[in-house]
Amino acid sequence: MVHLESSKDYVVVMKGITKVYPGGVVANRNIDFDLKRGEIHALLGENGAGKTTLMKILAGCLLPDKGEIYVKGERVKFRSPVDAIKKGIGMVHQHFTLIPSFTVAENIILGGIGGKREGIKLDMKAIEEEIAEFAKKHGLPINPKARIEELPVGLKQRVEILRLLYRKADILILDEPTSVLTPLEVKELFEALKRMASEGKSIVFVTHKLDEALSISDRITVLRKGEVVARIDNPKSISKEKLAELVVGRKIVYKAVKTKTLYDKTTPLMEIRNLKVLDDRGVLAVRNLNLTLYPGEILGLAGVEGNGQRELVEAITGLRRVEEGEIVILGKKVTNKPPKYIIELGVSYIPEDRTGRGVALELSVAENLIAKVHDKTPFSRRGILNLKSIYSFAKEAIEKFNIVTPSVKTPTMYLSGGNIQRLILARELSFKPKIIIAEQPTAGLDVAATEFIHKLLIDFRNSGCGILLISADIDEILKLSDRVAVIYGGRIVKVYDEVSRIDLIELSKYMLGVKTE
Amino acid sequence: MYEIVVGQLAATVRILTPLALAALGELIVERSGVLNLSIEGIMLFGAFVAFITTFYTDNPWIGILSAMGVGVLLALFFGILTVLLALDQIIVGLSMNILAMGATFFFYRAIFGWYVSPVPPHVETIITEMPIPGLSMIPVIGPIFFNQTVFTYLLFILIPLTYIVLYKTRIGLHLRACGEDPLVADYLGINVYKYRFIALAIEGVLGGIAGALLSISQYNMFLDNMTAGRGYIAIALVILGGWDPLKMLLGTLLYAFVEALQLRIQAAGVVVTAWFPYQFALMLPYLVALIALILFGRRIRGPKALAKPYRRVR
Ligand SMILES: Nc1ncnc2c1ncn2[C@@H]1O[C@H](COP(=O)(O)OP(=O)(O)OP(=O)(O)O)[C@@H](O)[C@H]1O
Ligand SMILES: [Mg+2]
Repeated sequence: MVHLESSKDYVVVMKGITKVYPGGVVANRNIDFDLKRGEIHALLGENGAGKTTLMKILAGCLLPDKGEIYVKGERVKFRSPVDAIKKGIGMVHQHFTLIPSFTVAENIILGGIGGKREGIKLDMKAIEEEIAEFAKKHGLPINPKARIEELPVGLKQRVEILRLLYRKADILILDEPTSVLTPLEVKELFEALKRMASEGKSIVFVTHKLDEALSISDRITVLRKGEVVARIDNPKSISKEKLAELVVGRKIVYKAVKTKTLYDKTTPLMEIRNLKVLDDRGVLAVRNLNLTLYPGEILGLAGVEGNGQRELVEAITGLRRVEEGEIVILGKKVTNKPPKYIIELGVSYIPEDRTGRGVALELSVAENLIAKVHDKTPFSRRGILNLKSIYSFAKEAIEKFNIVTPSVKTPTMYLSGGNIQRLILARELSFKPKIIIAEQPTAGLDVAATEFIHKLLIDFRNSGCGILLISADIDEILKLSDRVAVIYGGRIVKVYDEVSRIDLIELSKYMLGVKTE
Repeated sequence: MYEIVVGQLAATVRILTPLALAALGELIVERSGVLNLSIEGIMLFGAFVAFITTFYTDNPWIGILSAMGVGVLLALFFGILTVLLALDQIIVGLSMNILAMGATFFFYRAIFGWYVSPVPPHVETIITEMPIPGLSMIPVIGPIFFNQTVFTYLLFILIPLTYIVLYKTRIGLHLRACGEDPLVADYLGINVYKYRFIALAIEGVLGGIAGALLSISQYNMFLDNMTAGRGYIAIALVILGGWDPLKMLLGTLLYAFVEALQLRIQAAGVVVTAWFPYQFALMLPYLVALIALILFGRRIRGPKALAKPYRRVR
């Protein structure tokens, strides 16, 4: 470790990095991190460990309070992401930094660094051709004319990577790139990363998925609570269990016990009959869908993204108009009833879009926690909020659900992604729900949090709740569900009553619409 | 009949000019993600300053220049509060409008005395029409389009120019990026502050001219609150036009047509029936704008980051 910073092999050396956010959260404490040329380096850690913060510092998006950064043997002080990209460092953020209403080509040339055409005039045709060519050359083909908002997540991510390459980045930082991808897309991404690494690009791969870190990386650095707790130079030499312990700092103890089949088919909790729902463009997204949820079961809804799951969930929760058909919850017709009515029947909703729909970012943690019951005693009386009981309830919930936050009054936007999800769960599960609609409940969450949520869901199921689980993660569906329904093209094309008997190949065929009943 | 139609259309273009200039400025600013309600105050101040300077110098061009200057100053002041200090754009805009109303009311009286004579002060030399030789002789088209002030010609150059800059140049792409997502623009090396301030300065110039045209070209005098909500109308027209300069011009045309008609009805002293007094005519243009917004306004999607303060966290 003598003169790492001047060594040719190390493209990045970060020394003693400390970052304190306004508000006093120490996100990074005296962190050392280095990156070798041509390696894939996994940065592993729980939610809120400080991974994103460290990488944002490296990419010039944040200024460190202390510490030194050397890039390719040279001391640097980045004042903006542009300074970083000039040194070849680019980052794909956890939340994409693309402009949805712009085209792929427009997004790639935005900012105008690294492209051939620097002039004022935009010759979109020439630029589009150049980019199509460029994308093909890098083995990441894309239609440069497509609008970002029309692209699936996998391709959006591809645009982000292409933009970095177009800006001549040779040090790529990917912040949790796989949490939004389907297994097939993950495979493609890994292949692309390996190819890029073999071409001499250096890659930091931020994740909290142990399997991914173990399978793709040349080295692993583990962060916990803002500090480096382990550096693993040879990932082959470490077991998954050992790694999990390093990440979490203790053995994971949650072990959900799923009691045998509980549900009985005589008293359905929710019945959906011949449902028809339009999507945003006015096209039928849910066509004649039938589905029944029983008490005491987890019903997994498997399907490729964009097959009507979103619209179905929105119809159930009262957020989207139903065109035809009906939804009956606990014997009451709820079709086109306002959300409040449905909430009060005991329907909880854990939305996929956490920051958009799950919480109000400007409001405090406590306010978000009671958002759905703010008008009920003891939280308010005759229209006046009872702050004391709100705060004491919030403190309890924070404790119980392990939400890491400086205080109950902190605006929710300062929480890390994982902690926002815990907050949503705390709100949705604290008031004895009868039905839980869980949409990608563990996407982007670390091992411990995932286990925690799985245990919660199973506990609720054991106590007689009906849970509709929508997840892109097939393993999660198979692990938790009592029954599995497959949605394709806005219809339920198959229902498996016995999860242990599911043939994965057959399931995939139903999901892709190759097979129908 | 020919006279009436051509007269009506020429008046439409005349009324359209200041409004469209202001709306164009607002459009550019809104495309950068800033909602500047103070365009109303900028216009009012422009009208006031142009009137005073012209009154004392007898040179309307000095009037125009000083209106431009005061417009830029006000717009930049708005920018310092909302862009730099990230204060709420709506609140700052509204406050500045109220300030402009009070300040012009006060200074007008401070200058001309508290007891305004029955005949308010007028300016003698004003910005007048500048017929374009040859073109202005073409029947119909000539008197409508080519017998206007120089600012109408300027407008008809600026509208397509803005369109081209917005959609066909890097500058426009970057400006729109600031309006869609300033954080992303910032990350990619687009100087959001620079774009927003330049846009505001342009709006200051255009808004100042727009106000000046009211006082020293159309009315020859200054009246309290003489913009009478035209700044807000300009904002409505930007929305109605879907933030597109060409469509915005169409909307402005419709509005100006109704306003010209309204003036004619008033001037002719026509009392159509007892339930159609001239006050009703006064209301017409605003009503048309409102109805148009209700009809078309819902489908329109504006810049995503519009009116949201952007603070850089480092
Ligand atoms: N803008 C901010 N202001 C204040 N605190 C913040 C801000 N961003 C993050 N934090 C806090 O800093 C800590 C580290 O956050 P960071 O986003 O780096 O974690 P992470 O390891 O990327 O977690 P995750 O896996 O959830 O994305 C967290 O406790 C978080 O609440
Ligand atoms: Mg993160």
